[in-house]
Amino acid sequence: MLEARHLTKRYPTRIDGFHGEVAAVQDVNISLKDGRAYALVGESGSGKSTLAMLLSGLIPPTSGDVTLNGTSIVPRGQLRDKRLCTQLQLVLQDGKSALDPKMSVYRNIAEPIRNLTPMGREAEKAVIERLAAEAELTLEELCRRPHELSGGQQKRACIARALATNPQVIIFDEAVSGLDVLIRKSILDLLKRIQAKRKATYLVITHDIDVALYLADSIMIMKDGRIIEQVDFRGDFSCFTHPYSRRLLHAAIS
Amino acid sequence: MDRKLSKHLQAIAGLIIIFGIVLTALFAPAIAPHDPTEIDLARKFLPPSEDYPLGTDQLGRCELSRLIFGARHSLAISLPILSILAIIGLTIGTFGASIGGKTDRILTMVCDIFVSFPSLIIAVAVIGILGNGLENLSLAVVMAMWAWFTRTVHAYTMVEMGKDYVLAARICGCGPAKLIIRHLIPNILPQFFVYLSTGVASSILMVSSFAFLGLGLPHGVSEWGAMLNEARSSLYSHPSLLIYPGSCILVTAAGFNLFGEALRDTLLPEEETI
Repeated sequence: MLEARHLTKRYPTRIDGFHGEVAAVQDVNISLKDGRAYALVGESGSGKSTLAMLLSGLIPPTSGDVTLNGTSIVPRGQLRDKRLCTQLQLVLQDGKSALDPKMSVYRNIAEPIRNLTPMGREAEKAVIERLAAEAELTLEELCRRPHELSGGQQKRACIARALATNPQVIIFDEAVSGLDVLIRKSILDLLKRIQAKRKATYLVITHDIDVALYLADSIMIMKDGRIIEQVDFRGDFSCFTHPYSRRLLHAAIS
Repeated sequence: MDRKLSKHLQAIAGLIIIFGIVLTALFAPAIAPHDPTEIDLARKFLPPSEDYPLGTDQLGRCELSRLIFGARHSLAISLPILSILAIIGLTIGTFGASIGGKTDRILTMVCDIFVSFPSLIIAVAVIGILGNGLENLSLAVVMAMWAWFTRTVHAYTMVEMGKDYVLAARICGCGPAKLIIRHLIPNILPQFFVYLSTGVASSILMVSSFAFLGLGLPHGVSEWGAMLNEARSSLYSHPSLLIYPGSCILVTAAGFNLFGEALRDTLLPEEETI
């Protein structure tokens, strides 16, 4: 279970010589239960990506705590705990820049396996071929460089890499933004299939409530760094009560 | 397309010059018609002849042979210096930029201090304290240039550190050492090669200018800069003795620069210049 308690992140700002602070995330409390799919919806600038980084243990919060199975994952210094890497994966927003341009797609997907598991090269090859099949990447595409793939295939490579160590929690930051309609649909379907197949906790962060409704059992709405509403969605829109959530829904449906 | 072709020609021109100089340096004893150190005052300032294609200098030594051996000295001094600079720059630069924080600020400060001293001052100080000699000259050039290399690598690495694949590597469990060796160095290497290839030119120029000032090399070594220095006394009577080594330095520096710039355009195609 991934839990955040009173999580706050403030960034220092300096405008015209005046020092101030901007709160990207304010007093967020969430608990993500094992095996469920969550979505976090908010407009750009609402603190979604900061929250994603906090929940992945990549940046330290100003105050509050994040725990995974009861152990705090707040980072101390540069080194990232290997066990945490194995248990929790974050899929970054931009597929192209999240892959090392100097390595083949295969080598990129192999990265967590080589860093985090004692697996030999033969076993690794079998795992990667299985992951590629799962993410619908061809073997030929594995041998290419990331920039030679389309945006959709780059995203698939990132997803395959995140699945490599069979993590307990996977966070997707803007899983389908910037992709065209058909590819977007196929990536969403891929995520849906992965959810059905692998029992893990999924958190999909998106600005698009459609995506949230399609993928998640539980939807959190974020505005100005706060979670203003959390609902378990079962096909009934009336469960959204906050005016902002209703506006988001209204805009999506019309 | 035309631009590509012209870059292609530029790279070939640069390569031909570099190969020419390297071959000359390697086979200097076979090519040179005379011993470059053979002094014969009876034959000083001879005009070009069949026996002495470029004539003789103020001590009657064969000018052509001295130029040919000069290629050897220039490369043999500057290439090892450059390798040392590359290793220092890559190690300290990537380390500082990837670790960040206080350590990085201190490293940057030390670099800034070294960069703020003119390289000549550092060289004069080092040679003044340790005395003349090839090792001391090399040490002086390394001391004068390491901060530039480190700063450049640091700047390249900082750009890479901001990219998502570095974050992704951390998410995938990469420690600092693996991050540097597997991700950062391969990604900055193309740019660094370009910097290095133009650095060859500047280190040859630096060694030559030190030699021209009489710093570092023992007297009589046929290094091009040193030859310029020795020919100064006959500037008005025999200007050709200055022109020959000067042109050699120019052509060598130009060759490495041409190749370096063409290399940049081939290796870094994403940074299209308009």
